[in-house]
Amino acid sequence: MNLTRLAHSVPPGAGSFLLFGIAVACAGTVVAAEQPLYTVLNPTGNPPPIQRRAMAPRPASLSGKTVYLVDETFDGGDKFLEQMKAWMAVHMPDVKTEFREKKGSYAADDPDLWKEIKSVNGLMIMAIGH
Amino acid sequence: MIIDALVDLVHDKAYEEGMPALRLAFTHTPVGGKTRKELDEYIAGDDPVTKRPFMAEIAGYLTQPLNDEEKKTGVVQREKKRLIGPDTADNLQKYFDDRFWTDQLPIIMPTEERVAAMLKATHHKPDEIVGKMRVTGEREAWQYTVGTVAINAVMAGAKPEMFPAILALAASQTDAHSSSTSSMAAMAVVSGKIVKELDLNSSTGALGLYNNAGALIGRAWSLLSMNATGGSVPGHTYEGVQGNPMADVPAVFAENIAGLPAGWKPLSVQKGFQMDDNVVSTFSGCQSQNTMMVLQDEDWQYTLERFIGGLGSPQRGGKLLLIDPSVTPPLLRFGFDTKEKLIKWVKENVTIPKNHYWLDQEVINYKLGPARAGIEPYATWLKLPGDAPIPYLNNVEVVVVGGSGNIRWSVNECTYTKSVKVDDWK
Repeated sequence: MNLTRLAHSVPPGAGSFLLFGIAVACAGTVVAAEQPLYTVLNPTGNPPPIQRRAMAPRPASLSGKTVYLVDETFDGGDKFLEQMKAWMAVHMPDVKTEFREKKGSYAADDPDLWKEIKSVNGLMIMAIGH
Repeated sequence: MIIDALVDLVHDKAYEEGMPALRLAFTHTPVGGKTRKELDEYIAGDDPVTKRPFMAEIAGYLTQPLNDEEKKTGVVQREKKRLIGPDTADNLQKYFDDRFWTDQLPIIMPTEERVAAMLKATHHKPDEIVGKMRVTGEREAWQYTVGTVAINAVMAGAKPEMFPAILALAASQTDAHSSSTSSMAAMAVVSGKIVKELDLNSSTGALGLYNNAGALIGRAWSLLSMNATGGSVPGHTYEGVQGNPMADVPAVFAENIAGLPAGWKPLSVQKGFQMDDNVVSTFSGCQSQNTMMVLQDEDWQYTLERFIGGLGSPQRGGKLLLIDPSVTPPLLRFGFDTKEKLIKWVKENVTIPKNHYWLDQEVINYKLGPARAGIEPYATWLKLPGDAPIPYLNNVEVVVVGGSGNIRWSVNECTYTKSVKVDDWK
């Protein structure tokens, strides 16, 4: 089975917001004349509005910056970030790195950590293990 | 950074969170279980999605100035078209299948006339909000109305007299198609006079195959669970690694009230309703069912602990014991003259040694973070000595069901979720 088909009503990562209605604008076009025609109701629920958020401004260079490597505790994310930290120590020696495990469950907010990162004007790479 | 198996899901999530152009880097699937040397190769290699050098890509993501798209703010409303067609039933079936608005089986076309007939079975207005569902706890919640529930009930082939029970299931806001990679399913137990009125089965084949009313109500709940969140789309809003045969049509069955021993209350009464109230009680996170025969006087404690404890990760605190009336006499002999005593015994005696508990990958994923954050009981369990028993079950229920064709019963990896009065939705 082709799982992609027409399933996804909003192309991910396209950078533009298409109306959901576009996906349901027109049903199939091959109409056998002898078959009865139906007009049917859309069975889907109502999605919430989306609040667009601007991304954080970027520095021109990582030189002298502190990059936080943040693990959210899923499978192997911690080990991956530890290896990344080691790689950066060799290949990006002018970048300081800090490894952190996010507090609480994997999806929980961690305002103390965000505050710490902002206090040093740091950057963050988060790893979602699996 | 995330694994490439979740590329669609993570783009969806970024979109929902208002940052559709979020800078995402991908590594190979899986990360868990890999050696450090293998991870080093991932890090030194290319992003498997973009084919660019992984670390150079990340450095670029952290330093490249934002483009106009990445700076956008404001609110975006998403609209949907109310009507689809006109077209033939074959074309519309394909149209629905292609969008994963069906269970890939033939549906009844939800015409305005059929939906209007379904809506006559409730006094609630079509545009009344029934509830919200989300495919996992972290995804956005979509809202659905009485009308939306009616459309899905028609598609399932349900009859109008079943509609109040379907609305009650909808009002429970229990998603029968969670997107968990662990491939969850759902079940519901129906109690009250409605069991006889709808001819719901509580005997042989109650959980399937032979429960017409249960199958139609369950299919309506299933389709609603898919469509309330815009369709159950593999890779996007459904991530079950292997899928689950229990998920096709959620089991909706009645408790065998006649088979309850003296002192054992129906589930609905345990949940605070009156004996005659019409109630649906939902169970979610169902992942497996295992059956065995009657317990023996000589070693029932050992067998009960092994049988229940042997099923599923200790991260999951839920178990549903489905007891056939034929196996209740020995349970009474063992002292379980109420369901509550049996539930208490299971919660206290089904345990796992501390060391093994904290080595379970699901426990690591879901409970280690809370333990480190001081959340109980996990914080205390983390400090226990190595072989200390951890009584990890916190959601155990007992329901009597079955036709007594043999001395069999089952333990189900299922978590009680919510009970809703059907009469409120007539």
